[in-house]
Amino acid sequence: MTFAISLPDWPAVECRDVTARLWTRQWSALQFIIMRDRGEEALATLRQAILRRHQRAKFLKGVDKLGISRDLPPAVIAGRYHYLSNMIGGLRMQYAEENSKKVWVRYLPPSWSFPGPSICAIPSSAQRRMFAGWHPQNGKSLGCPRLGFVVTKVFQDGEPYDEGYFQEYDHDLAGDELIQYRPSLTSPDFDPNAAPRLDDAVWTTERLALAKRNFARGYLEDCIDTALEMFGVQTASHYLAQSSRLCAIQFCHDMRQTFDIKGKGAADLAAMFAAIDHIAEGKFAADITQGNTYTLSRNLAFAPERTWPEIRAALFEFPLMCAKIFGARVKLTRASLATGAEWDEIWTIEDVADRLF
Amino acid sequence: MDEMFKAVEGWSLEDKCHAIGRFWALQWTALQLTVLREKGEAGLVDLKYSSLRRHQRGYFLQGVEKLGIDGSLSPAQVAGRYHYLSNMLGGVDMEYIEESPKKVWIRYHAPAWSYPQESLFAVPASVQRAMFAGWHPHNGPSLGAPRLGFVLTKVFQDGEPYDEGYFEEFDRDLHSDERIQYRPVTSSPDFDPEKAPKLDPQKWPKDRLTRARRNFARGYLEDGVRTVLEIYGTQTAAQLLAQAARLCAVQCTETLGGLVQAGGTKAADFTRLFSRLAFMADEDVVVRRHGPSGYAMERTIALFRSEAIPAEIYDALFEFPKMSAKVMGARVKVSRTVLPSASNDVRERWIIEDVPDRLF
Repeated sequence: MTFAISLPDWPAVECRDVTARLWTRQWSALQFIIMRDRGEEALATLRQAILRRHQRAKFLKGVDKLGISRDLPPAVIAGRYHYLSNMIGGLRMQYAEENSKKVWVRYLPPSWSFPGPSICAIPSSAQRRMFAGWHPQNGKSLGCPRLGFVVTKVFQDGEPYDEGYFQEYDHDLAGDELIQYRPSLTSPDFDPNAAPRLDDAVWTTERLALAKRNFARGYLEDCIDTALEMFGVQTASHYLAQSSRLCAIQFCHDMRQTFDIKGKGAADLAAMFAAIDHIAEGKFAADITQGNTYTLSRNLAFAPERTWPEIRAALFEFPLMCAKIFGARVKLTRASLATGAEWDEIWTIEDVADRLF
Repeated sequence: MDEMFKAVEGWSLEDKCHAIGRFWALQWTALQLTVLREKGEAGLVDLKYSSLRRHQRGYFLQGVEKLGIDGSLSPAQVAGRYHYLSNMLGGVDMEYIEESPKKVWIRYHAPAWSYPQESLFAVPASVQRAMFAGWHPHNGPSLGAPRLGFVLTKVFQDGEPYDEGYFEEFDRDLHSDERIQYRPVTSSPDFDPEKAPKLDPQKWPKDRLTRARRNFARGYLEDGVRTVLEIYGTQTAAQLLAQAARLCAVQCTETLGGLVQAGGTKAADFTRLFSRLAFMADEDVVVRRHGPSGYAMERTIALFRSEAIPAEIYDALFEFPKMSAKVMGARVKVSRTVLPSASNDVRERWIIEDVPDRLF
């Protein structure tokens, strides 16, 4: 028997926005836990590897999707790519063409990956290595060995934004010249009227919202995949489990408000996660099997098919911790189903008589 | 020029205290995370332990009286009630359970007060344990009860839904290393709000509660800064605070602007934001025109009034507005001079101007 849940009837843009926020928080959490448990160098390596992975998969394809002409000079193509793609992801950006061979980009605060005061914990190496993972690779991708990137400011050095410029030099660059770190005394103004724009006809509001959500998912997925490569499945899934738990501790309260969940029982937890699946446009079914037992059959909206069972179990720590926060008598269990089954997993949620912890 | 904060003059005490309390709490979080970043886990553990120890010394016994906790109760009850009530005053969602007069549980619910939102994720469990170690085991000696100890059963960072533990009065005097213990439990008791201690509403009217909540934030920031000074000396402490202030401003200028209805890219917008924050803190703020396009703002800093603090610390605090100016626009110039004062109070004048050329 299907039980009645009032799912949010929000417009698609809002659904995608809230989902993007949830995935972005998980992306932030996993990075912080890796720094906390493995140190500064591990976070720097992780970020460089994630961005490198992203550059390989998304840069050239993105140039075309964003409608950037490949006939433009390499510095202009690269600058426009970062300006437009990050704006789609929800970052506030600035772009200034000093000339066709020198193009500035700025990433304005607040930091997308490290919101609020949390950024104070992040060493500047994490930001520098993020740039090192992507920006120096664009020249090679565009077939222009003269294109380099100069980082001029990063938040963590006590600057008001991340900033740098793509520059096309007069000679081919050696590998260690492709990215450089050099503070600048002054930098040019941003003129919104002179900035590149997306084609409104191609980039509708709905497509933008979808792209924003996929931007968040892309970083979370690449972060998990990179952690798997760096640490192996057992350790990577431990970090993901821990970050999932802490994410729930800090944001369960906020999600209850977002989805207007008043109660703290099994039905309320089922309703909240049905709503989360619903706005993520995932496939799911909510049923009531006995008086106080609910099932949520679901396909994973986020984790791709290739994901390890350990990773799925680690992601499940998020709802598990939410159940604990709802109350000590809300029991949540999960059955992971075989590949090819109608559902990826079935959750059972029940109110029980005795405290569970 | 008081028009700068005219729009907020009608604000309730609650709204004012909320805004300034938020500003102070953010800076305390930022300082802790900066110490973690620059001095590592051991540095933050040291800071957290020492600042809580300082707080315990300064606030515990005095607080027991202020909160109206009956001194004839058992030591475990007195200690449990103190933490339950005082943290609730600070805005923490708390639970309290008397398993018996000799065993009293307390829970600190999420979200974590010191580490809002994502910032908790950076903080190792050792820091939370050190925070408890700085306070809870010292309550026994303060109460003249050498049998009183505290057992910590859960902390957020270990992946638990809340911080939790219990005060227990043992049958014998405790050694100092027995006064705090860390021991996970498989089950813990329910909270019954009906049985929880309550503040006397006569003595704790709404305005007093509101001020106490603001002062809770100020107390932690002030004790945090004083502790950093003791651990690192003036120069390094000022550098840490300056860096924390800058990054906090990078991330939070817009949020604060939203909080006090002031945002924009010009000197006037900057002045509006910071004169309103000064107004929220009751800082005797005055704003005048300065030259053709500028403002002069005077304020008496509401922090550290109880005991003088090195001038470098005030310079470091000024990095917050300096960075806010940069975030607002590349042509907003701010400078600060300290005015002569007969007391410990620090009165300062800020000059805020729009300039034609980019400053950076």
